[in-house]
Amino acid sequence: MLTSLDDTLHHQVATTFDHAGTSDYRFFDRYWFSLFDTAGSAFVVSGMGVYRNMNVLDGFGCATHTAEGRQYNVRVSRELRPDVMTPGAGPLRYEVLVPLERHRLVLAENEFGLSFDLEWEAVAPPHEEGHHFERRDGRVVMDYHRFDQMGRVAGRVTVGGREYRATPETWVGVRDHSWGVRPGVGGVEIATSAGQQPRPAALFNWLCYRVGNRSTYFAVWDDSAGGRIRLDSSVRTVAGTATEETHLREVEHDLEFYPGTRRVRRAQYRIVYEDGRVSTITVTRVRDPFTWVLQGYGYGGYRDGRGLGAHRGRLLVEGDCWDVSDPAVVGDKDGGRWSPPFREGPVRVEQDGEVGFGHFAEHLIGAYPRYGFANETRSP
Amino acid sequence: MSVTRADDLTIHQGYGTIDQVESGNPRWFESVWFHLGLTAGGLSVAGRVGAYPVANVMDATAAVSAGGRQWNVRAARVLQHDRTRMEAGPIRAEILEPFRRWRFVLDAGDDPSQPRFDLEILSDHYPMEVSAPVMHRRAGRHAIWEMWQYVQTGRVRGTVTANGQEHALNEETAWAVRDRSWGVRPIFGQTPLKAPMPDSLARSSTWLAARFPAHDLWLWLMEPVEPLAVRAFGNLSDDTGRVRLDGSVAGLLTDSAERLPRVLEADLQLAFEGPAVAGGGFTARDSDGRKWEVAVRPLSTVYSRGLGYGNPSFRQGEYNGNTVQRDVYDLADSGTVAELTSNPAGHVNPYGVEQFCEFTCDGERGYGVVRVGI
Repeated sequence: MLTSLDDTLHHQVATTFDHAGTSDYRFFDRYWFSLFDTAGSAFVVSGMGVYRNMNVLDGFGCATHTAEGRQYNVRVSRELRPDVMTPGAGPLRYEVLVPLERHRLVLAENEFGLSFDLEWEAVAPPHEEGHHFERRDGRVVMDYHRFDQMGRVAGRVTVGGREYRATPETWVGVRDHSWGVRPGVGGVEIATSAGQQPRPAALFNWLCYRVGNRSTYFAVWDDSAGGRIRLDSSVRTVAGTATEETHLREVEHDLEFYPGTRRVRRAQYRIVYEDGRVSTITVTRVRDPFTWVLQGYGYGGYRDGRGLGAHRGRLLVEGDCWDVSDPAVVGDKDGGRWSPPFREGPVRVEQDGEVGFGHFAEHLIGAYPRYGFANETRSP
Repeated sequence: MSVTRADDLTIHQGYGTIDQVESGNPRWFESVWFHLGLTAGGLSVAGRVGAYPVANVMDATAAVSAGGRQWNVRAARVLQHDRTRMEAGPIRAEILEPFRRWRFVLDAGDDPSQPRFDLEILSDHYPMEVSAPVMHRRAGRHAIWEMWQYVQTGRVRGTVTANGQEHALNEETAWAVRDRSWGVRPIFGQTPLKAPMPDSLARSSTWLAARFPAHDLWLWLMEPVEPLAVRAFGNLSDDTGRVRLDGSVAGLLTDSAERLPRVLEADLQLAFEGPAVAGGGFTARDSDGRKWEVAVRPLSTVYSRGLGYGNPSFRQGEYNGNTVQRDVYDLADSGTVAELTSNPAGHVNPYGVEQFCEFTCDGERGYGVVRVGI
């Protein structure tokens, strides 16, 4: 089916833009935003993805209302066709005002106690991550690309009966845009070997932040022995309209956990730039102990448990509200409690005497003796 | 890879950034082509802009045919990830409104003797797309054709200047056809094929698009040298040596998606003088059961070599840095025409001729383009 995009010279394969070049059902193309008050009153996370091979567009708008200690979640899903050009479903819609510069995110009034109208504006060029590829037991487990970008935020958020004004001086926005294939997309995950799939990384830390005129992204993957599997990074220094990009040669971490959990409370990194300069950064929560519970925005979530990209009919709008005041345990209204293995959230970053903000994602699964996790037990 | 503004749209079709295509084939291209003419005859303007992401090239060509002469401009630049800027040398294209308004410009600079134009093609009829990829492979994975295409007609406004004479065009006096295509194609031999061509590959291609007041008709027929009785209609994805046909009928462009009637049968009875169509016509039947009996009268001609097709000194998509070529063909000279239709470089398609034509059908008069490649 022809769409107006087909009138551009941007095709990547010999078919129309409503099709991907692969038939892998997991193929996605997705925005993600983390927008928060640096004073810690409210955190918003929102995303929207297109899944051409599943005929799905889905998205989410969530807010952590720290005064209540609750995370409000709204998830939407619709059939992609025939309206492949409108980035929206139900109460959630996006507008690309200027690519790589300004986006508008709107969650209209709904029955789940959360709405917002926010504009994200870039303050630095994007960080293009190294390509992510992994083949396991003959199957391409992941093959995707992502860029990350720091920005500021203006607009309003209404959550828990209170309205918060976002201003560029007080709100920060971190966002990414990624596409390709990765696990946990499309509703089913096939097995290509008996038993548990091997886990390539026990520890994963991902950080994107801005301090002064320098925007930094890095991610580390370690095995259980503390050996570095991969380091990826990009550092962009902005001076007027000019930017310089460099990379990190080394990242060493020193993590402090909430007692009895695997949740990072405070992180210190010693980073070494390509030119040999050394810097130390300290990462703490913007509002202790709040972090995002990813199931709220569909990563492994939705009430049917099938995660992002699954086909859920012509239109689905669902929502919930969780108690997230405990650093490791999440509670729902029905009394259910669980400990998600993967958390992320807004952070305050102090580097060489300067303070900035960013977004931090982490997991630590299985043994990691250096931090006292000696076996495969999966404490929260 | 390099992130560009296009990457900030959820339009990716592959795993890389938009500046990358999934194929590593150096012939991978993406282009816009147009041909317009005066309904009274005597003037044709044709042009194209092409991007070759694997070869890191963007090129653009233009030809103005009037008064027995054809002025040609061919330009190329280093693409450097930038497919949004559809420009090379003095030629540029702009999407003013997708599917509805395109602008094509040939800048003469400070030299008044050079041809120039500033034209807008306005479309109000549906684009007509192929029903499946145009695909032909040699044994194995070598792709000769693997391409998608759509066609759209329109009317024209703007000015054209050639040989010191300015033509003012408006929607009543000038009509147009344009196409958009992307993928892999022979491109008239720009990347020489080192092995014999498969027998199943079509030796003749006739492509025509006609705009009538309320409807458009587009068809594309690929034939072996000797036409065979068997026809595979509906798409051109066939490696069996059959005559292959695709085509469509379109009406007024609206915002809702329409399933357009397909052309199911076509029988060409074109008359030729040398390589060019001199008259004749064709019949066709579409999937709505309508039978078309169409007479064709050529009004003006462009030899495709001027646009870089099969041009030994300007191979489309070939990396040559930033370059501009200009030349003029004397179409009244039989020797020139013979040279333009010769095949000194051994291209897969030795020549192509495209002609702006008048079409008549059931008392209606329309205009469009016939392209013949052999």
